[in-house]
Amino acid sequence: MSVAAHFDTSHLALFAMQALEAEQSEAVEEHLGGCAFCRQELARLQGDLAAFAHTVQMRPPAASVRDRVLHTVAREKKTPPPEPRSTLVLPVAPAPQTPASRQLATEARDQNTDELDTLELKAAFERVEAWRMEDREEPEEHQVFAESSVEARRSPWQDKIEVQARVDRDVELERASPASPQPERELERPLSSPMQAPEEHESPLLHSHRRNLAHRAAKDEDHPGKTSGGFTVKLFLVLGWVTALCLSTAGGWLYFERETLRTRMVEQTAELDHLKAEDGGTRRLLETITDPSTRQALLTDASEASTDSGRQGRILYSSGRGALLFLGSGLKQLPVAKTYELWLVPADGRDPIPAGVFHPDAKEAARVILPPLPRGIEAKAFGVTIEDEGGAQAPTLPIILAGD
Amino acid sequence: MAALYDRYAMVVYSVALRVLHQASFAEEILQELFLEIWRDTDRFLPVRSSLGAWLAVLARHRSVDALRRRKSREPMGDVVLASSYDLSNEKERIALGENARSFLAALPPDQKRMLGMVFFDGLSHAEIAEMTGETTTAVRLKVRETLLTLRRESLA
Repeated sequence: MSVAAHFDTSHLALFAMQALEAEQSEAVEEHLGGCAFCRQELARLQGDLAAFAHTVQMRPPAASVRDRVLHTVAREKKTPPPEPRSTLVLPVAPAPQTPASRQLATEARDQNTDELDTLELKAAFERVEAWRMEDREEPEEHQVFAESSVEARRSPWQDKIEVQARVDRDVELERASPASPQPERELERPLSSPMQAPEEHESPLLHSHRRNLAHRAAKDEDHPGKTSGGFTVKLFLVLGWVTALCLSTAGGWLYFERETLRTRMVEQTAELDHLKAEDGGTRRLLETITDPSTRQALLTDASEASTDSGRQGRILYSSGRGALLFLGSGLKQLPVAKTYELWLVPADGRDPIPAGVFHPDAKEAARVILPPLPRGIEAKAFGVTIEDEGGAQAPTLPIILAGD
Repeated sequence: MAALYDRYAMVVYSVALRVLHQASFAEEILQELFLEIWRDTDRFLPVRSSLGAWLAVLARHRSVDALRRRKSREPMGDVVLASSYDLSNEKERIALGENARSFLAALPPDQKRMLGMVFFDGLSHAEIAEMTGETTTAVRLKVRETLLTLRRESLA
């Protein structure tokens, strides 16, 4: 697996840019699945590409794109998204709206419930309005009571709220003196009034209606508990809208807050991952360098021909960790399609293990940092050979550098 | 989302514009990319390393895909990258751009051009070889050398 030949950096770079032919690309993909070394190199290359991407001339996008993006985001937040809303909405049954449950709902800032409240209030308001209209459309009754007494008027919608007999008694109470109720007589009146209505119908309607309104106003003062229903409903209506406004503002604020936190969380998670990965590598490097069991090896020119080429290498190797550092110097640039490859020769006589390919830089220096190696392999020696681009599975002679 | 957009939209847009050469296409990529992030935050969470670097590379991939008029081969989040840059702040991004430009300035022009042709123009190395008369191997190695130069210089 890790001992298999690796893909060359140039191959991986083209793979990262999707510039390989389909079959080549598939081969790389397959190899990446089982090769941590190439995956790591690919990740580094992506980082290099990101740096390269930043060389473009920066131009700000049009503001309209920002608006479009944020608008779409805002709109998608409003429509169902089950995940974002679920954190805010309490499972409140819509039907029973006791003051307690309403309070609960308010505290939970549940806009659905608030809408229900408003709807209910609206419906109540509409009902009241309808009764009033009914009231105006029945002038006969007004007439009867207007004829008999100035105080004798009650609107039908009030009747609907109370028991008929009780209404009748009230009517009588108001009609006579407040101190002396006359229940026996009163009971007959509602029976007789509808009979009288047709005959008395010709009286001036407008006049009676106006009077009726005046009576009602007077009654509102006398019996505020009974007759301020309209006002109370209006009050609730207004309160409903105010609550709705407050809740939507609060809801909006919460979304904003949540979005900010979410963005921050995403960024911090990414940063943390990055730091962790970095820290892991750094720690391993440091441990390898400082561990007393780490052995050092000096690699010197192994070819007989040129003994004063100046090329050499140093190795730090910790078999327990499977960690290796190589620093080479005096290494000439190779022709294209050739690469240097480092080898670890195990002490137990097994075949040499490839320990990374490398290319020297312009100063003829090279390094191999923590190539993927199996753990627990005691090394007898190290060597460097020149191989074809991409590396080999077995070293090709001659050995350029060697040491133990 | 607004904060994220304000931070990275310029890089995404500029890269897309460089690839596609047309503002309306680049805006489309910009919009799609950010909405994709918004709609699929879970996939976007495990992205290792710098968001800025990731977005820059992804912007390029999406733009080249659009250029090649084909469906995206690579699902978002598959780009794993190890970057030593902190691109969350504007100064760092500008500094990275400038540094990278100055490192590249030292390279032979045709070598630089190769990487640009692959990265920004979405050409395959075979296509570039055909256009420039170089061998495919030479194209590959020049691309590699340019990228490694960037890496070495940024680590130095």
